[in-house]
Amino acid sequence: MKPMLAVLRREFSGYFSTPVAYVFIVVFLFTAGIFTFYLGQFFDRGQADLKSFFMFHPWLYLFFLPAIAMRLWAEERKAGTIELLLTLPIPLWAAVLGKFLAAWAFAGIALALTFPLWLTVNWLGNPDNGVILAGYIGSFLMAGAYLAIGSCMSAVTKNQVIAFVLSVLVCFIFTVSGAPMVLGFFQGWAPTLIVDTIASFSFLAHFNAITEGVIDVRDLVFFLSLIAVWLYANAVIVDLKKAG
Amino acid sequence: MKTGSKALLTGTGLIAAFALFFGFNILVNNGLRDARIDLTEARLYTLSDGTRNVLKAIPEPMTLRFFFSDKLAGNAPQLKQYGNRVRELLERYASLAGGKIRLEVIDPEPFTEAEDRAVQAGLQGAQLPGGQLYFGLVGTNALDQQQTITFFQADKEQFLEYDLTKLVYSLSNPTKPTVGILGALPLEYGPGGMMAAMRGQAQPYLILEQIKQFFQVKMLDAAKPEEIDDKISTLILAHPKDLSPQAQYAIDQYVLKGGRLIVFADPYSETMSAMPNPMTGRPMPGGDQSSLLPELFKAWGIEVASGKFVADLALAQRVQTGRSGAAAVVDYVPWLAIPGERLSRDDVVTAELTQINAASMGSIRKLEGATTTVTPLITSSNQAMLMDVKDLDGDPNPQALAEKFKPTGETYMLAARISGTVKSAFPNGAPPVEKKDGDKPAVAPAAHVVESAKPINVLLVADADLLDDRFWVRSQQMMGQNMYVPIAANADLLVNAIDNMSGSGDLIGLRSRGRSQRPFEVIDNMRRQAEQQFLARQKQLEQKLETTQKQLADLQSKAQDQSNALLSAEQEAAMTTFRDDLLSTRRELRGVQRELNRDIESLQVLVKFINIGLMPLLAALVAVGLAIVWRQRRIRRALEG
Repeated sequence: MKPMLAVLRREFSGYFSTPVAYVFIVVFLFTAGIFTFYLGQFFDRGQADLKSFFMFHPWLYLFFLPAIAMRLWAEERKAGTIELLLTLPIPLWAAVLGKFLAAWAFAGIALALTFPLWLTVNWLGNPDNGVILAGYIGSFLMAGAYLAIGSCMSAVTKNQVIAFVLSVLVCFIFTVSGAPMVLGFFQGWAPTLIVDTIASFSFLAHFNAITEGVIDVRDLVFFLSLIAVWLYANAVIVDLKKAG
Repeated sequence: MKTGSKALLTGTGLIAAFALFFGFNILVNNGLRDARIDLTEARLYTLSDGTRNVLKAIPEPMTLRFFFSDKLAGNAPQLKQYGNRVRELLERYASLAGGKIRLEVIDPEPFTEAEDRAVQAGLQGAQLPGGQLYFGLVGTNALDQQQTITFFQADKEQFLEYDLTKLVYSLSNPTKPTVGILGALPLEYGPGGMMAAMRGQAQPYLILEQIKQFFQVKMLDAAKPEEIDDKISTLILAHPKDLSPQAQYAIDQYVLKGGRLIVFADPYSETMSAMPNPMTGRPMPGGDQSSLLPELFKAWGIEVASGKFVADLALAQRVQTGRSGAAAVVDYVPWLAIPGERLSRDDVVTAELTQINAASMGSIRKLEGATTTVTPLITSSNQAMLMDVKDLDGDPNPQALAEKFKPTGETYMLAARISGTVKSAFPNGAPPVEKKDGDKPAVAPAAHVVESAKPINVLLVADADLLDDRFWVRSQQMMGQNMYVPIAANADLLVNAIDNMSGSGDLIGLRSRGRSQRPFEVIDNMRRQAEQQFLARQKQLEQKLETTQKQLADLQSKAQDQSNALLSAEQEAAMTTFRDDLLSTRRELRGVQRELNRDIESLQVLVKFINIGLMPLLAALVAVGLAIVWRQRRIRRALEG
């Protein structure tokens, strides 16, 4: 546990020692706000809830979170510090988990900084705060899923840009697999079971279900197992590269 | 660095891990249901105790066939999601019913036997590009009785649990509930009353025909209060005029013992006042046309303003008037066409109704210190006031009523649901009966109930006229036959109310689940205030405009009278001032309109700024601040070193 925490601490403070973190937070908050008020038509809907805010999270995360995750391993590899890290007496899982948790915590801070919106709806009306809480939990879980994929993709290459592009691509597949057009493509020939299964692996479906205000164990299992499997893949790739 | 077990970290391990991930999730998705944490305020996704009680009490096994065109719905994700929700809820019902519900899930694909079954069961199909989509439920019990939900409409989702539980309940309680009707309204004989019936000209009210389709109806005699007993599942009072103390006592006891009551009590019955006098054959003006039950109402914690009706300009029906020569259409404030927005959307009785037409409704008020809960079902607009029923006697003049009309800004409760524990309106027990010679000894009176053991169930509509045909149906000649076309949902209101009340107490307790609107109250209040200010200012300015225009017209006509003479300089100056005045007033009026939304807009701008701009700005400031601190620290260190 201790080595994992050490990695976490080092990575986490790493975010804040460069301007990147602040730029990221500023841009994220700004974009989330713009999406909520303009694309989400917050005032026109006239409802005291955060639907128009959470609605865009999958799409925001699709680009923002790979940007956070891309440096996790690619940077180390490029700077050559990965050899140093791997020779330290730290288990591989601790390094992988520590880095991932640092990124997740950072994303959590960015998400938490949207709290004025929560205050706003409580001031303007009488929202269902349980639903809002569920929305935040769902959003945070989904962020973890995006970051796990991003972290794994970052281990594949030493070029951060390639890591970014790769993880956007994989995340995109997991996001849109529940979208009507994608399902429509399969509908014609594949049996319902397969179509349903494809839809059930979409971030959108699970996230939307949670934002309704109910946390189903299936959604929880989906996000947590997805994080686990990608982090495992992350470890495998780091190990393979080291050997090779 | 230790790498742990080498064998795990291989490509094969990776493939196995992903296979495990997919397999596990597919398994969990299909196997693990109903394990969830419901964070919503109204516990939208948790079954209520009422439903659990109904499910536990199912006597005989029943079959529920859920028809859902699963494959076809694939193109419509929202529909699919709702379909899944219904299916999962039904599965939950089946598991809670302890084997008493057999659930079959059927996908009626186009041109299959399953589709034929869906059609046969009377399910509605929705036309989709790939064929007919079915989304309904057919329930059958051991007696082969059938209950269906022809189509699950997504906008009725808030009543999903109610609808399903009601279906299960009616299958497990297969006898038709008995509805007792008591009151002065001649529902059986029609507008002509008993006399017309004796001449063979009875025209029963259509609303009675409607409820006879669904329920067993028993007409009760007010002179025989002992008829009000526990065999009646729901009692309807239709214009309960001049009820004897004995009859009122019977009603009081019926309600306290758990009987369900629907009251149509009127401060002024237009139907009755228009009824021909049996002697003269013509309507008799004047007289008391009210049917309020003040003592009983008081015991239930409410009061209906006596001698007053609610006049509402915003909801007024438009009527033709032949007064003052030419025919004109005017607002008639006693007659209300109440739109859906004024009917409670949270109560299953009124939620689906589009319009109720009523005449001279009373205003219901909850008394202070009442032990009951009074939930409004129908409310007036805020353009309403209470008027004297005397104004309706004879042949009321719509124009005169409109002139008398001064809105109080208040909204009045026109119909309400009353529940809670109450005490008897007759604290001293049954009222004494005057004994006449030769009377048979009365049946031994039942024990007096002082207080309700369970919450009472009363639904009060402060109008009886809405049961009258002329307010809600139009008859049309079609192919030589009389067709009746409803123009308002008055009959649905009654059928829904009986339906709801005659079910089990568990069912009545099942209200709509949340989903109601959560408006921005702050903004709505601002808008309302601004509108009020605007209206007041507008009125002022319009008055000013009118006077100025009049003065100007006067001056102009004066000028024309003295046609040849030139306007005096003084007159000309006055006219110029008036014209300027006119223009500036008009401008001001436009300005007021513009200003109406300015406060709201500036609030919105502020909210947007805080949420879009402020936090990023603060984050940026923190970053800059930290950068400066670090830089100084580094410089210091460099100098020290």
